[in-house]
Amino acid sequence: MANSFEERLRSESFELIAKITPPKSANLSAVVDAASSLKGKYDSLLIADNPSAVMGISALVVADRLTSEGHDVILSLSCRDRNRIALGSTILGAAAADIGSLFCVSGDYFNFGDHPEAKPVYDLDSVQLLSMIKEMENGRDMAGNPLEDKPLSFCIGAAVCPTADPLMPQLMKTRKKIAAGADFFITLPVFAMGQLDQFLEDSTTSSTKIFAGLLLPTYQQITRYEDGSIPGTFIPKDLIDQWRNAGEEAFQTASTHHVKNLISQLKDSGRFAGVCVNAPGRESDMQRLL
Amino acid sequence: MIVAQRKPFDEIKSMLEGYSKILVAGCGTCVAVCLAGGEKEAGLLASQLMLSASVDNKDFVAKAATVERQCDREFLQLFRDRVAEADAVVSIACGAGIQFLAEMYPETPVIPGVDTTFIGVAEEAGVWTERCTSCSQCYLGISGGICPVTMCSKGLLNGPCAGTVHGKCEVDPERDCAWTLIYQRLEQQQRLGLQEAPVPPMKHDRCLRPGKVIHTAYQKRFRIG
Repeated sequence: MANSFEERLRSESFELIAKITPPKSANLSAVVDAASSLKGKYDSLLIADNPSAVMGISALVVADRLTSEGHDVILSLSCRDRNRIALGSTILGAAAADIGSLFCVSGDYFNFGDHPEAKPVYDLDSVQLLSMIKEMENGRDMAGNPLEDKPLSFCIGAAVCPTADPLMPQLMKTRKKIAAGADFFITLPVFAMGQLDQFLEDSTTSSTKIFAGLLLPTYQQITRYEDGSIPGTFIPKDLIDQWRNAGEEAFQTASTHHVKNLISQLKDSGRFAGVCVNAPGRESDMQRLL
Repeated sequence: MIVAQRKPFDEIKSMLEGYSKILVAGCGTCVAVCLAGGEKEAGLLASQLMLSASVDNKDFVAKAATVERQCDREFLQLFRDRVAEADAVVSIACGAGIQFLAEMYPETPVIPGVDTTFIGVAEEAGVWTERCTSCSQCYLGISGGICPVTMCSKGLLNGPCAGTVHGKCEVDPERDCAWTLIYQRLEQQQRLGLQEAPVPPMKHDRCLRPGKVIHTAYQKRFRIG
C-alpha cells in the first residue's frame, strides 16, 4: 500500500513528524483536536504505543481514527506489552485500517511508567519484530502460516540512539535492523548537533533515511533529564544549566528557539530526512517550532 | 546453584497458625550454600518459632531436621518418621524441594519458609547473583559467555536497547548493560562477527512448563522413542 509518507521517504523532502501520545482516556476528541491543529504544519504523525510504559488508549485505535481524519500516520509497535501473536494481530489491524507505516521499538521498561508491577513481555525484540513484518509482507505469519486475502506492504522504521554510550553496540544492533528490513530510523531525542558527531562519522546508517528525534520539554521536566535517568535522552549539562537559570518564563521562549534552530541545523546538514518532534505537556508550542 | 531467601518470620508464622507440632525441614545443598535453608538455618528457624510461641504462651513444638537434598526421593524418605510426628512442615529447600517433599507426604501440610529467587553464582561472601533462566536454548555460544536472556533486563537477543546509560542498564543504573558486556567480550575475543546477523526469536515451545528431561541412556527404560 503506497502512502504519502513512503513516497516522501523516497524523495529529498524534509519531513516534519509530530509525535502523538494516546491519552489515558476512552475519549478521542482531545487527540483528534490536537492532531487537527497540526494539520498542514506537520507532514505526518507518529502515534506512540504506551510510551514510557504509561498505559493509554490503544495506539492502533488512535492511528485508525486519525487516518480516517486524513492524517498521514506512523503507528508505533512496542515489544514490551505484546507477544508475537498480539503484535501480528495488531499489524493485520493496521493494514486493514490503511495505516501504511510502522515504527518498531523494544519499549522502555516498566519502572519508568505507571504500572511498575506489570510482567514484561519482550517475546520479540525490535529486530525480530522487523523480520516478522517483512515475513507478513511476504504473505506468511511468523510461524509460517499463510495470510489470507490482502497483501501487506508497510514502510517500516526503527529507533536508534545516536547518543548511546558506548555507541558501537548500538550500531551493531542498528546493522541488524537494516538487515531485518528497516526502511528508516528515528533517533531518540537529540539536543545539539555535537551529540551526533560520532554517530554520523559511522557509515552504518549512511544509506538509510534518518529522522532526528527532538524533544521540547517543560520546565519541570528538565531535572528528569539531567542525570540521564530517562532512557536514551541526554540533555547536555550546559543546556540544562542555561534553561534552568533562565527561569520558567524565559525558558519557554529559549527552549522553543533552541529546538527551532536545531531543526534548521539538522536540515542544513543534509544528513537527515526530517525531524520527529515530541512536546509532552507543550503540545501547543509545537506549531511555533516551524 | 539455586538461590533462595528466607521469608519474613511473620509470614511463616502466620501460615503456621493452628499448627502446634512443626518440622522445619532443611536442605543441605544449594540453599545451604546461600545461607537460606541449610542445617544451621533450619535450627535457627525452629528456635525462633519456639521462642515466639513461648512469648505467645502457646503449646508448641518445632523440631529441625536436614537432609542432603530435598530434590531426591531417597533423601526425602529420611524425613518419614519426623513428618509423621508433625502436623505441619516448614520446608526451607528451594521451590523444587518443597514441592517434592509435599508430593511425598501428601497428607501433611507443607509450607514454604523461603522464596526461591534464581539460578546464580556466589559473587563474593554473602552475595549471589543470577546467571541463568533455564530457557532450554542456550545462547552463550554466540554471546561471549554472557546470557542475554538473563543478564539483559528485557531479555533482548539482538543487542542493547536505547536506554543504556554509560554502559549501565536503563532499569537499574547499578547494573551493567548486558549487551555492552557482550559486545566488549566478543570484541576482546575478536568474535564480533557472531553478532552481525539477526538472531531469530526464542522458541518457547522448547521450554514448556513444567519441564522434563530424560537422559538418552534412560530412554529405553522409560519406553521413549
